[in-house]
Amino acid sequence: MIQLREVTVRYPGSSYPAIDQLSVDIYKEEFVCVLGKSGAGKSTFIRTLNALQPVSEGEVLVSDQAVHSASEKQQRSMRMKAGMIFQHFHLIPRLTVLQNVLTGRFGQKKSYQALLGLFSHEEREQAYHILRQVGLNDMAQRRVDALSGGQKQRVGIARSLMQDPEIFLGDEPVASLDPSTSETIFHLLRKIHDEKQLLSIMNVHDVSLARKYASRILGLRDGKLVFDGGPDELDEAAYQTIYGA
Amino acid sequence: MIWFRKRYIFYAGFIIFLTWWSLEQTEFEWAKFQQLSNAFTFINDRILPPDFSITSLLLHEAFVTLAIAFLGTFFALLIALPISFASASNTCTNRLIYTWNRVVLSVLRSVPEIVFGLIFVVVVGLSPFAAVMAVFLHNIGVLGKLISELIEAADEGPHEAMKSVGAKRHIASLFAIVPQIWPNVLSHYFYRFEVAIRTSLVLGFIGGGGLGQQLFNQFQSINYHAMATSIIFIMVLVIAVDLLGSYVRKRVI
Ligand SMILES: Nc1ncnc2c1ncn2[C@@H]1O[C@H](COP(=O)(O)OP(=O)(O)OP(=O)(O)O)[C@@H](O)[C@H]1O
Ligand SMILES: [Mg+2]
Repeated sequence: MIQLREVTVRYPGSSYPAIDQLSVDIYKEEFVCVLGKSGAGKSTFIRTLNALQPVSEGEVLVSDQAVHSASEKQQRSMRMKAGMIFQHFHLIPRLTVLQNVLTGRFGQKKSYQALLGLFSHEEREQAYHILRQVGLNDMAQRRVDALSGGQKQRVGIARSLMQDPEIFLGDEPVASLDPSTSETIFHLLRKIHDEKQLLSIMNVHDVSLARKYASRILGLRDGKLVFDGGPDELDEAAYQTIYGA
Repeated sequence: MIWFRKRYIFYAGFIIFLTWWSLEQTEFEWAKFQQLSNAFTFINDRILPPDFSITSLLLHEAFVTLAIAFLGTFFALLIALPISFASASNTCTNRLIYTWNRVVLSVLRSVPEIVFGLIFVVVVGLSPFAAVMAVFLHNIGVLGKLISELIEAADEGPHEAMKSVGAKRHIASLFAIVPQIWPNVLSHYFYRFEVAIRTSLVLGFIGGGGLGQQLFNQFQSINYHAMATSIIFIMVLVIAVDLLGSYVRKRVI
């Protein structure tokens, strides 16, 4: 469970807050899609959840543990439980698919193990198993630079699955993919979410994807929560409060 | 005239003035170009043909030069790599350490190899070792600056991804950044290696050994035909390192 208590985020030198006194509770097994215009604060919101972005006021609780006042070590162990995927995939260039997937384990590894690439037989097996799950069966030894966008995002998903996550975060994971690839990726995300009973939060700008896959939709506008409801509650009026002029 | 602004006239005036001033300072005389044809006569009559009887001696000296350039730059690379991470604003969050490292790198860079060379020739005596130390110290400064700039220009995305899997800070930096900058690091390294070959020649003039010392001795003893052979060796060495560099870069990209 993730709880936000009056969270405000102000970027240095900015006159208005990117997130403005936002409070919301999100529960296990919810598949949340966050909607909002460009600049509404979606990226900022998702990045505060695993402390990639510090907060100015308020607090974020994950499983009743305050994220932002935690020590660096505690923050790391919270991040281990939260897989994150990105619009531009953020894979490690020049490495292979398998190597990239195994970096998902870096949280658990001692420094020398990470440096030397010492992964157990079980971990390798798990990586191959995950690659089958995301449909990259025979790509393990390919360099990630040579993959298509959709394949890269599958590697991103595989890397976060390697963390054995309880939480699944995505900052516009399909925004650089074509519509049909976006659809398959969301299908995959939802399938994994249901199988592993995760708590998922995905930023999207494609409203139809949110309507189709979300169990709950949050609408952000100027850093404030202006909509919170099921996909069937997202009517024309709600659409206007999120996106309208 | 849409491309031109009034202040361009001022810039042009300034550059013309600077050129004139430099001509004055360097006692530049167009008339002296007539004497340039003498250079061709000199090369033709006095330097050519090369004296190949000293080939085996020069071969040995060429390897000394190669070793000076390689050791000096390679050790510098080994030291500069970790220092670069501590002198890049995105991987070193401590402003004090960051600024201190930047200053140290600038100081190392601002002292030319020849000055280090003169110091070490006095301290450790006339030997290639003095040349290695000179190349080494100067190149820590150069490679440290170049690599820390590569680190600062690296895409923040993979770094963010590594943080979000819970990786320790230094592991996150290393894995996110090194694969991104690696080809450019090699590029810079090989360029510095090539430059070090030329530098070690000058260091040879002050007793640093290798081809440079041979060249200087030959020049002083007016043995121009032997000099020609040395020059051929130098050219071959520089071209060989350049070719090796482009081969390695192709393999890495
Ligand atoms: N690093 C930053 N420094 C200063 N201001 C920032 C920074 N990042 C974002 N902002 C500002 O914070 C606000 C929210 O930005 P954010 O990136 O969270 O929006 P978003 O909803 O993700 O937009 P998009 O759909 O374009 O990705 C914007 O007004 C933006 O200009
Ligand atoms: Mg965004």
